Amino acid sequence: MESMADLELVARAQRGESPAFDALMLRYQTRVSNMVYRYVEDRDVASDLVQDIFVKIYTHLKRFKGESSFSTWLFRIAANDCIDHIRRQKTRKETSLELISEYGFDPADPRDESVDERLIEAADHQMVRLAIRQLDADQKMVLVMKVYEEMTFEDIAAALALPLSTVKSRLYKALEHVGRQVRRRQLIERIGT
Amino acid sequence: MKHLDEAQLIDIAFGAPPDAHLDTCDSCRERLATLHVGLHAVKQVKRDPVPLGPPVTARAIRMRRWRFAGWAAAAALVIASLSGLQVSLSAEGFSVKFATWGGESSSDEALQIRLQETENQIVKALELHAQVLQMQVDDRFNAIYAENAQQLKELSRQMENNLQSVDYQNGVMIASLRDDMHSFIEAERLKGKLP
Ligand SMILES: [Zn+2]
Repeated sequence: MESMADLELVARAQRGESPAFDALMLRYQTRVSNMVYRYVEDRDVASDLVQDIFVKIYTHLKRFKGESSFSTWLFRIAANDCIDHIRRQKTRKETSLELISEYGFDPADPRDESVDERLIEAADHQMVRLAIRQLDADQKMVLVMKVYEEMTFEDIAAALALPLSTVKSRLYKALEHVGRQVRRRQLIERIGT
Repeated sequence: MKHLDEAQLIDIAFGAPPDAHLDTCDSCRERLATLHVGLHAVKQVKRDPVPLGPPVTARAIRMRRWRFAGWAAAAALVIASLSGLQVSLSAEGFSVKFATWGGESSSDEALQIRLQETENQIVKALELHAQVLQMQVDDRFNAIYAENAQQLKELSRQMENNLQSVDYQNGVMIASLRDDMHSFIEAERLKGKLP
């Protein structure tokens, strides 16, 4: 079972062979769990989402016709669930409120001129995480898939059903945003010292 | 001079050979540098993998779906039987009283006893349903999550919440049933059918 190709396992699982389904899940559980966790950044939320994703995969497996690889299909379900979740749960406003409670100020508020100074006080990592959290849901997904899960551009494009150029463009914007935030902070630190 | 596009710069940032254009264009070098800074920073905050939970199996998923279906069914059962009780009460309890109160004379004391009896019956029925519900939940509980303490805790929290909400609904139902009966008695009394 372990050495079988995905599609063979899928075919068996579609015929109702539970061990085949179990073997498939064993193959992807770690990757999906990590991707979801690194995307939503909360273990409890990730755990719920992963369960939902696997239930969906189980429920919809019969509809999988093999137009893509199984992993592409699976990551598409996972990515869509994650993106939906973030969009549902975290409107800009909520995120902003959450950040205010985390940092004691609203980093997105351009009227607050002391924000930069206080950002300097925050830990480097927190600043970067904050910048990542500010990305829109689609950009963040590409970032997580590429940088953390080390998927190929082709796999990401297939999983998100996007042209390769769009995937790269989203990643560009994501990295550019984080890069700019970091450089801005470095500049402020240099001026401050 | 044509600058490098976003895709080209991303390719270079992820290891493709640098384009000769970069030797002559400050702007594109700057953009690439920002990407490198961003990429380095993002890698710095990569979160450790989550500890792996119990393996996801077809059986666990079937049980999980069944658990939810079971919950919905159990909740629906309680609600339906509550409504059913109410209906059957108005069919048996109220209508009997209608017949009794409409025809024969009856003392207020007898009515109060009758009211109390009916109420006790409702409470008993509700307790029974709660017990059945509890038993059903326990069965699923043991079957599914015997091996996983964390999920057990979560499930038991959910179960408590659900039972609390059923309890609350029961309380509301009983209170309103009582009110109905009292107003009925009061109305009958005003009409002079009751002492
Ligand atoms: Zn250029």
